[in-house]
Amino acid sequence: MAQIARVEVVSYRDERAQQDLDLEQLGNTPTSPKCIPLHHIDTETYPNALIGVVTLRSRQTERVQIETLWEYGLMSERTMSGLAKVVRRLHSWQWEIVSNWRTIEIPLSLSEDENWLRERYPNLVPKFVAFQVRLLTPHPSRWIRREVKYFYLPWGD
Amino acid sequence: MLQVRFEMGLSPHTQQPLSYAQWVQQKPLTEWRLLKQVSAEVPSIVRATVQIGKAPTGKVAREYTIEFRVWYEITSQNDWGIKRWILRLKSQLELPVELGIQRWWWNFESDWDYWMERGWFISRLRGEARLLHSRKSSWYKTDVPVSISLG
Repeated sequence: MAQIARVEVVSYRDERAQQDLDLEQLGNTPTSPKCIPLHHIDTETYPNALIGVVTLRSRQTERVQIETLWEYGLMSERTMSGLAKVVRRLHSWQWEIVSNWRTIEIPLSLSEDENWLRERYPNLVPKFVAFQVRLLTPHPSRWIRREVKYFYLPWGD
Repeated sequence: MLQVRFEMGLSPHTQQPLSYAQWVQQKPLTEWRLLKQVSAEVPSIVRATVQIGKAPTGKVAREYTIEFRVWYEITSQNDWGIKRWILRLKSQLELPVELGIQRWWWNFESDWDYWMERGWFISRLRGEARLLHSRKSSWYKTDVPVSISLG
């Protein structure tokens, strides 16, 4: 039976150019970029793109359906606490052939989303961005969630 | 207004299909070639793009809600008159206008092998997208016929 073996959120960095890559730059650098697992986002230097990575494992060849969800949690800019709004950004269902191992990637353009969220919710700021995944067939599994928290520097620092 | 396109990943040095594993593991230099039809060789990695074109009027929404689907038409190897549609991917997304683009990529070669081993072959790739918000639109469709010798 297929299982979700690993879920993580990563970004890519071109170490020669010292640059975090956006989605358009992936596959456009002369040397392979470095994959960086992310657990938090430093808002002074945050990455341009995120990729939700799911690794599936099955001992026999199986056609499985997985559901993935990218969402943002927003908090009040004034209090910088609580959870004011959750924005569902990208919700996907896909059918994958898993023969031994299969890695699936769901990209998200973080820097472009930041402009959009700022304009759409001018009094809110991102608290987290979360990637979730679960198996639907051949047997449903619980959601596995990876939350990437935004770190803000206090004013004046 | 909405565009759906498919591309295959190639190694720019050899012009051979880039393997899905290589893309996932290394993100090497890649040439994305527009797929109008699949012939001669089975792509390994296929990328789908949904893009919002410029609005015909000056009034532009700040965001869109889009429904996107990718289908395979599969045909029986024994009787080419027997066909089925298989959903590969469906998605609902909020797409900010500043970006206007969303991508997915997957292992087409693996899907091809799976159906070949079960007496079918993928005969068409279809992408369709529609707006759910700020207005509801009809489906925008892109079809990629597949004609590969089954050898």
